[in-house]
Amino acid sequence: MVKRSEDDSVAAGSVKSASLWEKLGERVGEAPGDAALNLWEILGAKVDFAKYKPQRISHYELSEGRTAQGQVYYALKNPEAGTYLRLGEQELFLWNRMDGEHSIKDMSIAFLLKYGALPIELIINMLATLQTKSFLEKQPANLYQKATQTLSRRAMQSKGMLYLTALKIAGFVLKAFFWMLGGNIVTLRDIDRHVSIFYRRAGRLLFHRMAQYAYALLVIAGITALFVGPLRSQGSATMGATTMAVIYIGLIGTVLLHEGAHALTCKHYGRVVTEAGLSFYLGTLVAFVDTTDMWMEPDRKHRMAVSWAGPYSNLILGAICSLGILIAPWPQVDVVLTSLATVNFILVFTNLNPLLEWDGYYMLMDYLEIPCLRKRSLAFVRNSLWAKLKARANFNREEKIFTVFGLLAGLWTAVVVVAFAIFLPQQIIGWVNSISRWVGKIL
Amino acid sequence: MSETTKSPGKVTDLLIEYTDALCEGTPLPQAIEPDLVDELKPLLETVRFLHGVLQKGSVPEEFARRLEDRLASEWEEMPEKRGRIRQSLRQAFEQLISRALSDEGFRTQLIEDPEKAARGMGLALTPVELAALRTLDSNKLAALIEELDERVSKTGIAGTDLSGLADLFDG
Repeated sequence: MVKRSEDDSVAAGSVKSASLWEKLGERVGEAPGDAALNLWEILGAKVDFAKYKPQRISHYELSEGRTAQGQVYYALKNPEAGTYLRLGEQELFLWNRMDGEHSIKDMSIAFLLKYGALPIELIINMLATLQTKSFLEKQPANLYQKATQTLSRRAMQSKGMLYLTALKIAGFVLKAFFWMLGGNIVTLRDIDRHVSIFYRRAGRLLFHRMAQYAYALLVIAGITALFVGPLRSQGSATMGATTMAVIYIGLIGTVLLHEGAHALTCKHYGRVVTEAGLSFYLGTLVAFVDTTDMWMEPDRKHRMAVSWAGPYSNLILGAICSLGILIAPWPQVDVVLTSLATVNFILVFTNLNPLLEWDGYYMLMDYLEIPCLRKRSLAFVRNSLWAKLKARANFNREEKIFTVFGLLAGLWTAVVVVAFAIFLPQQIIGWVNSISRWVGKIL
Repeated sequence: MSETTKSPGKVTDLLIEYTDALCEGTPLPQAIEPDLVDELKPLLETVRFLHGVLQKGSVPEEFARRLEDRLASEWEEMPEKRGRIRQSLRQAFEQLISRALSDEGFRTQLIEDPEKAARGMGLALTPVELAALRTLDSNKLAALIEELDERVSKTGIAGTDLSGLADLFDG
């Protein structure tokens, strides 16, 4: 302890840090035996888990929900960090006591008296999750991890600049690769204000019962037209710059409509649209809307409605385009409408695929009432499935779901990531060619 | 150690009878006449405690009501009695839990053999307290805390590859 203080003083070369230790020494000397200045006692209390008094954040939201099986749960939100958790009744009991006044020991005894069970493992796991998701005021610094990081950084520096540079380049390439798997490009954090204004002024009319009937009729008519309408040959249609520009505008409109539908439906149920923007998802450039706040909505049908809104908007737009094809006066209009109808119908199906985190996944997760379905399924397949199969153990409902979903989702994700890695160079060349052709046609 | 240890009269007998009935699933004693006014407070506290701990049977409504009625009138007049059994139970459990929180081996032992664990710490628990501790291993806690996914709706833009679409109509 003393050696550390001397080293620190010398290293820092600062009069201030030296005087701190001196002052502490004086104060300890002034009041020997005073409990308040007994550093070992203070340290002992700090590291004694039983005496730790966790303090929950002061500003949080809590909403009560009930599963289809009647089990009560509580959705917890940290509005500042934008994090969410789901608690059971017992966890809520502990959460309510995390006021900075009750120690772990107090909470354990209170829990024992109420539920007749020792909650030690429960508390340990719960505290870890709460810390990770920023639900506790005092985030204990992980000194050991920081020390390890510092030591490894110093060790790396000592191996020379060349080695370090090579590692930095490899790190950059890897970072870029992973960024293209799921990194944000543009993020609009103030989107909720705009969505709220639009919803109040006009958007809410889209949710009127009459509007809903109109959508249903349009979809039925559009799909019917798709199958019974006259087939037209597109061979004679030429693809001029104007036609291409209209298609592009239509595609941008399609994307905006899809994401706007999610955002407006989220607003319709009174929740916050956290952010929106452009990002990569498994190598694909995507527009996104963050509706995580829907977890605070207790009715799972409402949550599913928000996820369904996007593909449904594509279905409606695709149907409108199908109907438009029937009355298209010129071949160019026909081309534009056929393109948009095709894209919209494809988007309906791709978005309903639950094996990646598209809209279908969120709908399935809400239907099954298993949050983090993908993460938990993959973890189950990775960590527990083979052991259970080996032991010929019985599978409960969740484990059966995890097995089927985990295997399919894992396989599908692997195919997509490998395809992304293999075809990335070709894709980049394709983008470059595409831009060149575009520029050429425009000029 | 506790109120019941100091007065091992009717209260202890009743509690043991009650505990046994709960543990064995036999009919609960209905005809308890709470004439031991001074000792009823610890009894009620313990009954409530057992009810929470054992969870194998419910406290008969009639029994609970009679105790409640009788004790309600006595409660305010005997502040010194308030929480005595709770205090004694609390002290014993505090010691056990403090150790269990910091010692994983002891935690396992407490669940597997609470009597041995308590004896090892020099705690002389009453039969009731031990009965309560013995039930701990049957109270498995299912952690219900769950992280929640980010719900991010996405629409693929590159998926609607414009150059590909243009190719469709180039010919």
